[in-house]
Amino acid sequence: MSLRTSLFAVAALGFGLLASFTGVSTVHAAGLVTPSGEVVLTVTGKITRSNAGDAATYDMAMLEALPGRVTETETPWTKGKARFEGPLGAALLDQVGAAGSRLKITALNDYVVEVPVEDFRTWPVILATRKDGKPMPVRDKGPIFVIYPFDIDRTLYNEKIFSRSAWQVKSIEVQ
Amino acid sequence: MSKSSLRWRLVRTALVRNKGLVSLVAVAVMLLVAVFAFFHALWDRQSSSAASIREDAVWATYQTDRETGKLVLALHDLLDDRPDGSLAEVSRRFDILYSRHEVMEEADFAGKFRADPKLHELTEDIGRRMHALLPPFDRFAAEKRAERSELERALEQVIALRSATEALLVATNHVQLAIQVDDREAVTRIYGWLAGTVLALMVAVGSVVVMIWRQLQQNEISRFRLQRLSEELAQSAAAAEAGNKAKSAFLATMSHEIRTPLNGIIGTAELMSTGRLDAEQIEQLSTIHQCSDALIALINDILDFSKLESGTIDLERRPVDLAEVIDGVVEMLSPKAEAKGLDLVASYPLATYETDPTRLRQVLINLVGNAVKFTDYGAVVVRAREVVGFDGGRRLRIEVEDTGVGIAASAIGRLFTEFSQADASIGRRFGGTGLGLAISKRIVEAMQGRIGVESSEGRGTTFWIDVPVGVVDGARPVEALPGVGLRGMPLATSPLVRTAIARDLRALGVEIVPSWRHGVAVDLAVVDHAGWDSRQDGPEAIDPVAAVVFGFGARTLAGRVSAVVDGAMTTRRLARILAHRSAGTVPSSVFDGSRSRGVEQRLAGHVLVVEDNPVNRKVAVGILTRMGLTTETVVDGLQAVERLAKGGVDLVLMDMQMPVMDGLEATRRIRTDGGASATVPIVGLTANAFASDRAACFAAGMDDFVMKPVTRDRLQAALSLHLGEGVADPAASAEPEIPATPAARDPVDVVPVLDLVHRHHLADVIGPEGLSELTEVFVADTTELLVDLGEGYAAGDLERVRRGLHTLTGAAANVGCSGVVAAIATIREVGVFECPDLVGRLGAAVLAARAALEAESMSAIEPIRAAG
Repeated sequence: MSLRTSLFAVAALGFGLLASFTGVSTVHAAGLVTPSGEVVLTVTGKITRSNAGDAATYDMAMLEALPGRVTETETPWTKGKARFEGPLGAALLDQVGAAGSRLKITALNDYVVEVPVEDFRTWPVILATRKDGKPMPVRDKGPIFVIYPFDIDRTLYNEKIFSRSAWQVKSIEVQ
Repeated sequence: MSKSSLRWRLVRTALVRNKGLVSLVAVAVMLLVAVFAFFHALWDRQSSSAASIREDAVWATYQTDRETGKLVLALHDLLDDRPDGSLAEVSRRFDILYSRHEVMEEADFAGKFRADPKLHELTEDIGRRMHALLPPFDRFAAEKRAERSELERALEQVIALRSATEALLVATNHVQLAIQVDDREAVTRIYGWLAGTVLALMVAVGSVVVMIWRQLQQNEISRFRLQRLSEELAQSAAAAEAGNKAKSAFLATMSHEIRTPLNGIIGTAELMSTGRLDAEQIEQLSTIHQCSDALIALINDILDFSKLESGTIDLERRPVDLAEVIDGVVEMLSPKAEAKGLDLVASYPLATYETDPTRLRQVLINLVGNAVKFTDYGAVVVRAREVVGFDGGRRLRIEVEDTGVGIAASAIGRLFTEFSQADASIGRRFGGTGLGLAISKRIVEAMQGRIGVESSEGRGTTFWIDVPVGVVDGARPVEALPGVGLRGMPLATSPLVRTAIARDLRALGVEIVPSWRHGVAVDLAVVDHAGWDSRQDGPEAIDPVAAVVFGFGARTLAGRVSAVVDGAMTTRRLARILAHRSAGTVPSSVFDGSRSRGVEQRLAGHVLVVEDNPVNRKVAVGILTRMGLTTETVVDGLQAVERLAKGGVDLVLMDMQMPVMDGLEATRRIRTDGGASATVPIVGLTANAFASDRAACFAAGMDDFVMKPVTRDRLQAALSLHLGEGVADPAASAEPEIPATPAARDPVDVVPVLDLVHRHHLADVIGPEGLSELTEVFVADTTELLVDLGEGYAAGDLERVRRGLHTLTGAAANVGCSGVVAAIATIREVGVFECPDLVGRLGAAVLAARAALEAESMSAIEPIRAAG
């Protein structure tokens, strides 16, 4: 487990570095670029970079610009295997300069779930924006779906992680 | 292989013995297996439920229901124109609801949810309603506007949907509860079984523990008992050993106590025999002597055996002239052999070996004594030779062969065990303790040697011993072979004897000329007395100049032949004759040493006799006086020490056991006191002939010792050395005597009337005519002799009877009337006047002999051409 943890840590670090490289062009001296499209995600709380007052707002383009991952897995909520892709949660947290230990994730239906920041740091958890290559409409649990890497670690496939796997995510508060 | 099979057998025995324990262990093992099975079932259940981690159906249904409610509220808000109301919100709510519904349709719920018909129906219903809602809401979303009536219709439909979702929620919850209860029951059941099994297992293991505990206790108890038993055993062994020691001590004491008066008896008899006595008294005295000697021998046997039994056997190792030992033994047993008319021959290397002479002599006396005892006619031959053992060590093999009754093969095994004689009837006939061979065996084994016997019934017996000996450097062939350059012919009657003599002659360098070449001139013809007598009248007469005649009675030929050995022929005697022959001197005839013992020697000197027993004192003084010595007596060691301080004593005769101060202590005092008496010769008197006793004598400073009972011969042998008046060959006369056993009963019954072998040989030598002539003369003579004997007996004239018997036995032996010879031997042994039916017996024996001779003459006897 510790080996795996450290592997993920290294991976996360790698992604972080990649993010800082790619972010050079988009990041303002003051913080983040302002979204040009419809805002799909709002990050608030203990963050050091923002673009809308204290909050960091993202449109799809911004999210998809972040380093991401493809997670091909079964979920309890879908039929058969699905191919999810989207930015790494850790990359998002790095971009906004998150300094908290917990994330309060709120869905469109006001479903709120608390996720430890550690989860994002330990595993390559993604904020999936596409399913099988297509953007996800609200009817299909879009636009953002927290997907844990069940394909990497089968032990994640349990009810506790399921409850953290929020869909129709609209905001994240770093606490 | 056998080891493992043994282990198996042990395991099987253990299993059978602990049946209860074993079955308990088996039950426990079975229960353990069951526990594992139940655990496995639980684990399986656990992992299968882990494998079937699924979306919570109740939660999903609840969410759908809730989203339906929220959609209702959003529609109300829009219709009622509330500020929160917007068509976009309604669209979003619908989208969320639809996503929930999607989950309901697609999610991986437990099979039971999907299988439940009611749930299925409700879900289908909800699906239909949901699909019905899709077109209007799609339009709302696309057009971003809606007619009120459309919205109201949608609201109705959504409200209807809501009642359906509520129903589904309730139903799902029911199913969920049922699943939970079922699950719980199943797990509870498994736990129940598990608990029961574990309980049973605990009981079983507990019982096993209890049983093992009991067994351990049992083991401890038996170990304790065993220990106590072994302690008791050790105690009783110690007690037995102590008892054995006490027994040995008792035997030693008793034998000493018995010997002391016996010595008195013997000494007194000895003294009396030198007085003036009539023939009858002499005979009686000799009986007393013989009986006492036999008793002493018996006591010595028992004491010896008890000493050997208690493991205290002292062996010494010193250079020993083998001839000394064997000649001594042969000499000792010569009187017995003579009495039975046996040839006695000893053949051995003339060499010196390191061994224990006392023990070797003891064994040989026993073996030769037995041979003589159990042989009624023929010969006893002692053969010694040096052999090399398998370990390269030098060994001495001595064989004693006889032509006696032999031993049945079945009896040989018992021969060397205590208190057994090969045949009970033989025991009765010849007497004896039956200890002789057992003692010999122990002695030989103590010498690291072996003892054995080869025999077949009726064909004689060969006893042999084989003992390791040391070789004395420089003591090998002292003299050059005395017989080199001489040609000799062994002519003894008995093939056994002839072979032995031939061997000796060859060993001494003589060139052997076989007896059948009787025409060849030889320097030496060795012949036994009987052989000489029978040959001289025939064609094979031996040249007297070459003749060496041996055997009992050969003395009578002294002067008529070149040399005689009156008695047993031994290698040393033969060597002496050869030495004289080579040197060209005429040997004085060699006589059996025992004969010269009777010669009294006169010694001079003053002897102090230290002896507490008055009888023994008197005996010693009597003997010493007769030897021409002056004597003086004291009764204990202290007195002796005091007396010696005054000087004037030439020799001390010192008893060992005495009150106040024993002989050893007194000797030590005398030796350390210094002065004139410090060097006086001291001769110990001991009842024990063991090496340890002798060593003690010499260690204390004695010069010599004399074994009790004190006899003239013994005293003379010892004293003559120290009183300076030299006597020839003193060592030869230092041999202890072996007493005759007067217990022989009646060998007449078993001895054949005629010695056919002898008669055949006679016929061979003098011809059938000669033999029949000789026989006729014998028959005629016997009548006269019997009459003479009868008269002598009636008159009580012992001398006359003896003379008569002697003549008769000689004549009978000549013609091979062994029955008569045996009868006379018996009468002589028992004592002439102890045999009231003397004349009758003799008459019967003679008559039997005559009848046999007549019968023989009918079937004309043919000479046997001897092969050699």
